[in-house]
Amino acid sequence: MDKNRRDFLKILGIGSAAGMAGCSKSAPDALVPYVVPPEEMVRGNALWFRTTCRECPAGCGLEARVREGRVHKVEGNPEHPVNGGGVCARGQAAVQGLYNPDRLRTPLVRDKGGKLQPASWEEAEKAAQEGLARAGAVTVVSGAVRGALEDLIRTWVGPARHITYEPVAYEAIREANRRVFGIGSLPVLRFAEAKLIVLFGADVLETYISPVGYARGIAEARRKGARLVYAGPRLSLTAARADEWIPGDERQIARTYQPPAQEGFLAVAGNDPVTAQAVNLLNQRAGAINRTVRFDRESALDGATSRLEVSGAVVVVDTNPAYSAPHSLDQARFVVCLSPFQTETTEAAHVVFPIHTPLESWGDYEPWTGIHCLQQPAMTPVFDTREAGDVIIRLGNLKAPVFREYLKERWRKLHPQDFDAFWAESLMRGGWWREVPERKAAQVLRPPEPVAAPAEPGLRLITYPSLSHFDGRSANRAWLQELPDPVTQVVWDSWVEIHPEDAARHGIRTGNRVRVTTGSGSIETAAYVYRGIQPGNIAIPLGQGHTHYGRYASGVGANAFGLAQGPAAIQLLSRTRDLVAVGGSDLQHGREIARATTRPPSGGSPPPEKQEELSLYPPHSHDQYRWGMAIDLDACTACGACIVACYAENNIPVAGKERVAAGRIMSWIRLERFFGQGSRPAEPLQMDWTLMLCQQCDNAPCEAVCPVYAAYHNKEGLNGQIYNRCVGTRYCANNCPYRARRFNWFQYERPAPEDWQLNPDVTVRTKGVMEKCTFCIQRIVEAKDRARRENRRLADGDVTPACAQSCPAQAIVFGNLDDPASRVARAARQERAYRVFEELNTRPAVTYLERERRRV
Amino acid sequence: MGNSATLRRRLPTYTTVDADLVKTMRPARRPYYLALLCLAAVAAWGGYAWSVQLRTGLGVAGISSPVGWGFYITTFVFWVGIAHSGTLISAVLFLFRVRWRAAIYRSAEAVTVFAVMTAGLFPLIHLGRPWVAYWLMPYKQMGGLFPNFRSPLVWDVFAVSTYFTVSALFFFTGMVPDLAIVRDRSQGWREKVYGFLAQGWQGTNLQWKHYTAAYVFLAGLATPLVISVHSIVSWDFAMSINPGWHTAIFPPYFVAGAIHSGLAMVATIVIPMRRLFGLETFITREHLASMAKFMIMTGMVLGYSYCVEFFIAWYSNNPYERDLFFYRAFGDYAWALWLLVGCNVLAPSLFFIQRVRYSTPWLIGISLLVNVGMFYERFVIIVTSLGRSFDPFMWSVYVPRWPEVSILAGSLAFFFLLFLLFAKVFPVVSMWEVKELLPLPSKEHRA
Amino acid sequence: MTGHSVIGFFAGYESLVAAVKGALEGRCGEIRTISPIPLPEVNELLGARPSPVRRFTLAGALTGFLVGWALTIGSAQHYPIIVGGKPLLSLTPFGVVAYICTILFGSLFTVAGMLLNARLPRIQVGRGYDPRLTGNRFGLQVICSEQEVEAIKRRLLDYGAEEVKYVEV
Repeated sequence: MDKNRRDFLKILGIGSAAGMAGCSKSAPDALVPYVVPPEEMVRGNALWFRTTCRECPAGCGLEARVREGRVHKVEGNPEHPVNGGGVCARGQAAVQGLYNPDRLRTPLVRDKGGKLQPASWEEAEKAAQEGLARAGAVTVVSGAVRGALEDLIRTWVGPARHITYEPVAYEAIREANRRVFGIGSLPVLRFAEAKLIVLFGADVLETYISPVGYARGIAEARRKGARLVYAGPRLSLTAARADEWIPGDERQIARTYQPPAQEGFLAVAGNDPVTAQAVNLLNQRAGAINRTVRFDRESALDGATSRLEVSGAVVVVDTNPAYSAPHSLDQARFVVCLSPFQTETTEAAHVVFPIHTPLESWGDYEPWTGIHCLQQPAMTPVFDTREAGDVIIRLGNLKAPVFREYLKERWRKLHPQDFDAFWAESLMRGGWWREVPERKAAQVLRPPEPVAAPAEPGLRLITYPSLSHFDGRSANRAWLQELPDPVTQVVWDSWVEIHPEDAARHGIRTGNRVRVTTGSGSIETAAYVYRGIQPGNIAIPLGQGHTHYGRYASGVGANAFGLAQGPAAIQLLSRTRDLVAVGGSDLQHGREIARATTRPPSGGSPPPEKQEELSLYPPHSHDQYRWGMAIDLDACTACGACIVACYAENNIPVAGKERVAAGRIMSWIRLERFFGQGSRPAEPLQMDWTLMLCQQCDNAPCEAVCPVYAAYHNKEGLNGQIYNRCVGTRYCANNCPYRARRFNWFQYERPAPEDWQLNPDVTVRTKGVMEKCTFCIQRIVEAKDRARRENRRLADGDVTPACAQSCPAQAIVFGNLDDPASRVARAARQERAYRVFEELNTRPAVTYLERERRRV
Repeated sequence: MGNSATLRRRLPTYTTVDADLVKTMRPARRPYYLALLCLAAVAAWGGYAWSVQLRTGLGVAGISSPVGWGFYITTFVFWVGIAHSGTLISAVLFLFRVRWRAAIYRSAEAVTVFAVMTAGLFPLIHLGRPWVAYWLMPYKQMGGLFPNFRSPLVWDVFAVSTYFTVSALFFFTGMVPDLAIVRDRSQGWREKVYGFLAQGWQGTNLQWKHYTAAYVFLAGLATPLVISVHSIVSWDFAMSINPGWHTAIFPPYFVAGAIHSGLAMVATIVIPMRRLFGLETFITREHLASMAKFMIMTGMVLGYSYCVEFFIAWYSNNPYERDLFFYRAFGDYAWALWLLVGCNVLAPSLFFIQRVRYSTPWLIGISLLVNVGMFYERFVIIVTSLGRSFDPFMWSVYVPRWPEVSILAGSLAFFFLLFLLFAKVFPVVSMWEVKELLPLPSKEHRA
Repeated sequence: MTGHSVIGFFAGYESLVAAVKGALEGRCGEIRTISPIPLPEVNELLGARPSPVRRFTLAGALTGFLVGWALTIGSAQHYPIIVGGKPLLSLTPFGVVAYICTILFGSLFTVAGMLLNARLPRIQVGRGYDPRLTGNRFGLQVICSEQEVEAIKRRLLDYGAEEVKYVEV
């Protein structure tokens, strides 16, 4: 995109958004885009606002695409040091938090009868202040919010009474760092510089600390030849991505692992004291400390705790301890909760204030020291909500201006000189990142090993934050519930992973309802029996099992937060099989769909000349461009960000659990996960996957059979689908060997205000009509329009479909196949390149690059 | 074949032919109306199921991704197949001068017309947007666009509508002299109605001359239709890429299957009809035995086709074909495959036994089995190939839901309803052609 | 304009044939037979030209053939769209359509030809038409002048007619 133009628009955009957000309470008539638009808004053109994602503590940078005053999609900020342009699935689903139909719309006050009743802001503030005053000293519980909001809170109650509560806080790692290096902080991991990465139960590609940044780093490392090893009892997604999975207890393996004598070693520990300490010593022995493992910056999670017990007067700011730390609020006498949504904590609160979601808020966040991420509203608030900061100012009667001004003042202190220009630049950039002085970890103590719990007979329970819902905060997004878990392919449910041997002992098969009991509680959920978990272990993802979290999350799955990791028992409850998983067979049967190779790369020599396919028909002639895509299966981490990005960009409806069970999931791009290459799964289990989408075949089997020309081939190599011409015979879908086409079996409705999210550039399809991936033709058209106005051809990189844009590992490359210098054409010429079902002579435009299983 | 000899033995006369066959159109008694009511109710239930589907979307049915075609297309092909036997008996056997066709050809042609009508509902039922189904018609639409003539579905439009047109014309044209007979034996408003339908037919030599010429040419034109229409319908599958569909054997396979199922349906209808109407003189056991012999042949052809399919799938060494056919024989739908082999090939082989050929209970039983088997043949072809295609991740099983079962039942009811109405309103046996078979009346042999 | 004719009703086929031959020899004017079944032998006696319906069939088939090709080729050229890598003029599938159109138009033209030639449909059956003629009697109708009516009646009775009737035409 043309940089100057974007910047220009952005500055103006900032001005108006600021103006709009500032007077959000008093002047809703300032937001009237249709009749009297603000100066910079041109109907049909998008404005982009840079902000920060707050769906997890990683703090990735986002760009929000706004059309006529509404946010439709978020993309990654390519200049941001944390994510470099990628966005994970949960980040893409942030818009579904903004437009969630179950958002709180008014303050709530618990009445005499104990029920929460809607109240006005004044009434709620009065009730809250009175209640807090009566209940004693106020404790504020928030998530990791290092930045202006944290300063504000600490101004009110003091640092001692501010608890940073994160259900996943990595305390064991921080404690091990403190004990061994004297620095009780999470390390900065430089994956891109590593040559051998060994993970001990650390799911760095899923939810671990900063997964998008890590995915980028690991992809870069692999492009330079790095190897990845994972040791642990579970074939997590990260383990499946690794070149080798060492199944076993990672605590034992970490203690006895011998690092090879080479540069660029990096070991990462999961959140366990034994593992963390062993890994620290391992890293130190291998020379990784202060090279690939650094302590220059401190993390926003460093002061966080995952154990919570509060009493007296409690103010909970945008976190949900009643769900993820059950009984944490039992002793509290008066609870005030600030939340955008109804949650288990609001259900336990006495006064509830509805606050903005991050896309509507001002704020900042410092995930790592020196990386100051700025948050600005991308649109005026959807409902009558307020900034969390503003609510706190009024609750605490603080002498502060509105939160936006408070934020600005804080930044003025960061950079007093030339502040106005600095402020504008920071908003345009998405924040301000500065160099920090080096801090080396010098001392290496050898404290006694932490006492590992004795190995008990029975099963060991592992709970892990799920890829889709993290610690549960993203569970109310329909897209994420519908996103199949990459390993189990389960949707709209939770499960317990169990090995076939253990399952056979209890008579359990996949889908049966089971009860898992630990010392601290039990839950009931469905079983998933497979070889991706070692015998003697069971694993349950966290994040489901909400009771009060909106229509998409309530009553779905089971809440494993109450269970302690460790010894557990499992028991079969019923043989009903209602676990919904997409996908037919788990095996490729040698059909080479998701290819993997163990042969070492031969160093860049071009592949042998492939024999030209014979054809009866003349080759296609293309206008100026022939659009094509290359998907690098070695970089792809199966995180699902592309899938959710596609949902957001292309107005794809959510089908719901029952309909997905009937095979009607609507995603245009899907992850096909197989356990190996052949007709039997490998031992130990291996996972290979690919992304399947419309291949835009030159000889598309779907086009010739459509009776009404609704499917046709355009001059730029795209397989077009004309929605308003489709009569719905479904012959095209039957004739697609890739089964890439989706049919609208129903008329899907979107409850308000979810329909605000719909992308105005993409048709919303009616029932009875076929749809499929279009290579984001709306983006192609937009880019071509721009290029035409500027009197030039499209350059490589001008067009990026939503999936390619979002990928944290940059595994998807898109461009003009007719241009031999384009990235996609070069990718298609690589030795690893192949096409799926090439022998059918469909001539697809999507090239896949084989995944490599490197020898370690 | 000795059938004329049989007739000669019983020796109806021109008078008795008229009398016996016109009395089928006497006013009906209560069981008839009861049957009509039941059939109408079932058909109405099918219509209701369709209305639910129109309102809610095709998702109420069991079809899904990847099995996008299920019961509806199975039933469509089933009915089109049944339609072929009528034309075979009326046109092809006419050209080959097979005499025994005369007594049953009218009912068989009625089966054809009604089956095509029933079949024609299903392209509408299975469409995602049936309200724009007319876009498949070949006229200039949307600024110059015509339908895609490369698509087998458009060939279907042409083939099935041509088949309906030609069959209906043939049916009605063949009936005109008979309608004249009925006209001449009716009074009052009935005479007027049948007179109108008979178009003023007198039977002059000129009329007969042109009529028989037209009859021959229509038969000659309808004959290639028997082969081509079901070939075209088979190309709905053979022109696609799916393993198990993409095979050159489908046109003859489907045509043989069509004739097989059509004969079975004609037998299923004609056997009770001859008992209820007392038409044993005209539709004799010889007729039924001839049909049974025909069914032996078509059954053998089908059996051979099944063997060839499996053999070629193995011989081709194509992994997708091999896997699919293995799945057909031993996978989720193996029960359907073995059922259909038993019903289509083994059951009609019993007709080798003469006693079986001449026994009406056996005839009806085996015909019903063949009908069931032919339904499942199409079902297995469609559902296994779609549910077990190239990409194992998209393998799936199809389970029909209540709308599909209701609409299948409704279509059967609709078909039988039409036939019941026909049986009471039009002569079910062709009187003038039966007369043609009789010896010409002479002074000694009074007419 | 009224004409005069006599219809003789015959119960036996041979008598009818004899009567027809006699009527032809006698050159009594236009002769028609009316019968419940087609009588190819009699037809041959009465006029050997084969029915012109075959020309209609041929014309229809040719028309259909041309229409099929014209429709498919013309529509593809009018709005050219590439589908599935197939050539714009995909003659093989177009041939299928042409084939069907051949049969369709051939059949329609055949029926039209028959109706035209047989002068059907008629509003009325015709004066003097007797229902027995579709039943079990053969009729021979001789159109003649008023004076010959009686003579013809007698001749027909001679040939074995059961009954004779005078009918206006």
